[in-house]
Amino acid sequence: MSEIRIVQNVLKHNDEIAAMNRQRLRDAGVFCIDLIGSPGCGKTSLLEATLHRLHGRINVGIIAGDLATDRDAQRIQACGARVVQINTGKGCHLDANQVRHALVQIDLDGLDLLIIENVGNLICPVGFDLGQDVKVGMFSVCEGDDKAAKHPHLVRVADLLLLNKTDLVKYVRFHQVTFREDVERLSPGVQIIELSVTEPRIDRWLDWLLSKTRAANDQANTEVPTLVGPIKELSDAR
Amino acid sequence: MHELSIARSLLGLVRENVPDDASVKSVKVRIGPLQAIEPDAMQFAWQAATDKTVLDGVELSMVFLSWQLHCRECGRNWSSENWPDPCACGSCQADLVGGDELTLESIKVEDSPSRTAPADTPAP
Repeated sequence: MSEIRIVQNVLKHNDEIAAMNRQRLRDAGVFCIDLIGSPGCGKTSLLEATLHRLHGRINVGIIAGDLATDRDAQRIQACGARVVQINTGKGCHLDANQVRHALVQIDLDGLDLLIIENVGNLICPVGFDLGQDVKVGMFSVCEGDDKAAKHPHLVRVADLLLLNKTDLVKYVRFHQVTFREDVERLSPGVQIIELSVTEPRIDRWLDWLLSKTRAANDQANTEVPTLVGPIKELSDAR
Repeated sequence: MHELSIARSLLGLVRENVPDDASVKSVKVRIGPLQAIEPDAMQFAWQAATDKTVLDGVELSMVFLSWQLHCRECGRNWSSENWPDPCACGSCQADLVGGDELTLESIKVEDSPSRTAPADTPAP
């Protein structure tokens, strides 16, 4: 019997495809987000609100991942955005190959921002690189203040964390200090944006989005189309 | 169940690292705690992924790594089976170090008969 030493990343092939996706997006000057959150935390609602607020300012495309149905894609299409739906069947997360196929279907020309709405799941999508620029983790107060501690991988890899449904905090058992302390222990210094899609209170999220998108566009020497004008910084209406 | 995706990736990686006619007996994987892999689920996924393939019956050996922690108060580094885990100095301000490893460490292959045949074996 011989033991052959390998020492390779098990997800090597996924990561190779993700790197190609990343290059394709950067060549097109598109800033890309992988949005990860549990079912019902408000991902699609946030995207609807985002698209309405950014309409006419920047061009946004969406890749929507779900086990079944195209309901998310329909909701997003109604907002006027370019959207591709990926149905994973029994798959609990998107992978780079699925995103690669979706990128062929979505017209990146003139797009400033692409948001990949991953399958509703706080665990499985985390370890799979899709070719995004950043991973954004989304929680809601209704899930409880211990969810950051229970999902350390997501908190560790996320470039930004969103805490949604803050308008409901007085109706549920959620201690924001507990949540924030757990996050800080796992990922010191990571930004948390508290928001409420229904109030609505999403300006800080929109400011972050526009800032990141502009930086990516500048880096790619892609000018924002003059039709929509310069990107306007939104005030933080608290 | 991301274990199934991981098992399929592992299957492909093993096949590309050994000759087609190799008799693979086992594969060894190192898994960090952040991967949130459930051992029984991973074994089940491996069996499902390798069923009716050339790796059917190959043993999956998993090494689950401990949490690696660093105390922000006193600077101590230690391994723990639990997170969060307070430091010996009493501080609860422990940072995680690494933890997302998912590595195919090695593959055990049956030696082929031509390699193990004694030198004085008569020709047929």
